[in-house]
Amino acid sequence: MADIIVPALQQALNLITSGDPEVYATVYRTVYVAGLGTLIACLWSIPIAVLLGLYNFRGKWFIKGLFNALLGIPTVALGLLLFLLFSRQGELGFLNLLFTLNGIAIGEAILVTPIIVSFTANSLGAADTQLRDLARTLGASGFRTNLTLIRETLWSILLSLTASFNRCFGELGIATLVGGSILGETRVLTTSIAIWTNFGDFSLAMAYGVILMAIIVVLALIVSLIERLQKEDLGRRKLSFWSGLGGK
Amino acid sequence: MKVTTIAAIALIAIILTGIGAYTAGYYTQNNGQPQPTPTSTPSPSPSPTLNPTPTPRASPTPTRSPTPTPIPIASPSPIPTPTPMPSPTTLRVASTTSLKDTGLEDVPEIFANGTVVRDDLKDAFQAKYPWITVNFLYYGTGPAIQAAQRGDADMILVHSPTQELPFLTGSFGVDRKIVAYNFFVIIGPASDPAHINGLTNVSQALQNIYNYGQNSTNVLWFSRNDASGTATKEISLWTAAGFNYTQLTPQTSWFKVTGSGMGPTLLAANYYGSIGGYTISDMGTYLAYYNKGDIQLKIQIQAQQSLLNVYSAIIDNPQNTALTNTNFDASLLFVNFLVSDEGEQLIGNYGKIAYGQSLFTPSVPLMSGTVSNDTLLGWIKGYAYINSTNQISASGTECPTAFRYNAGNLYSASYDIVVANFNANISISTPNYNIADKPKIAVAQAITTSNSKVNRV
Repeated sequence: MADIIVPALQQALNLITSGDPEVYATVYRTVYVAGLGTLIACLWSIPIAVLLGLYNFRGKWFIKGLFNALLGIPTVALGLLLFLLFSRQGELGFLNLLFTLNGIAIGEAILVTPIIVSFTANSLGAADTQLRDLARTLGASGFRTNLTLIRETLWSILLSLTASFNRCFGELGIATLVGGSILGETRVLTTSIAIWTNFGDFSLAMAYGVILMAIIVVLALIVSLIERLQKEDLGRRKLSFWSGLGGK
Repeated sequence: MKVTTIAAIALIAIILTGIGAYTAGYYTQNNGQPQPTPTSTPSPSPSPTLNPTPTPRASPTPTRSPTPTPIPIASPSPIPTPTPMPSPTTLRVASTTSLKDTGLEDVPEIFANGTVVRDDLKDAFQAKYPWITVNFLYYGTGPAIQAAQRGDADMILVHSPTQELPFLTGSFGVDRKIVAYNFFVIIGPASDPAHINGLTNVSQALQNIYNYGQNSTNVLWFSRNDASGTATKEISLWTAAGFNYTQLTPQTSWFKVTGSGMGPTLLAANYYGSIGGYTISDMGTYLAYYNKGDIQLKIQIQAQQSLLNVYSAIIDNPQNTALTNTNFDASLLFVNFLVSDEGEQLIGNYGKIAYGQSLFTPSVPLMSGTVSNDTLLGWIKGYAYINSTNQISASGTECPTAFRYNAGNLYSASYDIVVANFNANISISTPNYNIADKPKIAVAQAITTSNSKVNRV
């Protein structure tokens, strides 16, 4: 038990370099689920966030509070709810989403909705007052003002999407319950770790953990790097966000 | 102004939906599953699930050579190719974590010399019926049965006769078939503070543990209580020893409930407190942990009648209106495969390479009478047979006729004997696990020396 860490790192390297198709397929499936989940979440989260961040209406405080509270939703509870809905006898059983990757992705999308909504709405709200006045003074219409505001906060939207992707990537409850951890089909990195721990193969479980962490760390570093480059760019040439991403 | 804002948002939403749908479509086309030859796809042949004639698929005879050969497993049987080829289908088997170790499924092992060994039941079955993809879901016995009742699984492979009975009588399941058996073990600290080692009476052992626990501050017994087959067995053992299981938990400080799977429970039993505690375990999970040195608990009691563990397959009842969409035909093929010569052989051989011993004993040779061991057969009958009044009873059969549906020759005695003759080289004696001093055999070395492996590349 004691000397598991070093062999695990070694086994992780072996796993990656062995060319085992199952390992690559597992990583691919995880990326697919996290990516599709984040994309689907954008469909409804960003409109809701814009609504909450830029417009005032009655009961707004309540909805904002609700989304903030949902940030801490237990993934197992959500997974169980979806499992019962997607089950063949459940209300959504006809969709045949149980034990499929798309089913997991929909679950992840619901899970990260509060993350995207809260982060984006807050940053829109924070940018709001001064920038809106400035845009108005410069003669922008209401729509142009809103568009400017959204563009100015694109960076924080991207950050919230990254956070969402990471959340989907390392999520276990929904992936286990909705996906069923079927070998070669719906087994993702986190459920691989869980199942190999259950079956007593700790070093293999650790190896999958190392792969998972490596991907998340690399992704986070890339995002930070882009942020840094973009800020330098802005500072030097007063260019917009888009040119910071490379459109010179 | 607001209208334009909403229009812009809707446009973004539509674009994102398109990207999502495209990705989904891309995935379903390239999900890497073995697909049968595409020539069959456009043909308007009727789907096999609607085919009303049971004879061609229920009869496994064409796959078997007429004379039993001494070679454990013959060269891969020719794939039966019915014309037209059935359309691709998926079979979902809800199973238990302890069965993971029967070699149900395994990723292919690739050795340095380039040999690829695929020795699991899933691959062997899919090689024979290439249009069927088998998916295993690993739950405890209780959740596995629930998944089948909801129609989320097409069949179950479980080990708890008392839980299987309501599944049959509730008209959820048909065609029960006992496929294998082994024994649970009671394990505990090497120092054995409750003095149970070698006892032949499990009730006495539990009484000893109780007596010791009542006079001690150590945590001594770890209980799963997660509706699994192992947990059901444990509760029945406490009941048989004269204790009320539900009273044990709150009354006693030495009795801990983990509520989790076998692996975490083994770890808890091994590492809790200064010496750890006792628990009941299936052999496969225990060996997987013990052989790697993750736990040090020793086997204290084994191979007793009350520790018998019988595995059965039951198919979802397609006559049940809630289960009409389940895949009966593929399930029947899989059950037939499990009790076929090849399937039983794979079950019986599993563990020989990794642990130097079989973890499971195929039940067909014993139950068909080809191999006689009346004591053991009596144990199995008394533990897992069901009589015509739906009671567990040695006077019954493995599946009363009321619960047989379209079973072909699954229950024919002559069929069993053909299978059993083929399997005569599998030892049927009461397994006596002796692993304390046996090091794990190097896998690659065992591969070259063992002739009982199936090589499928």
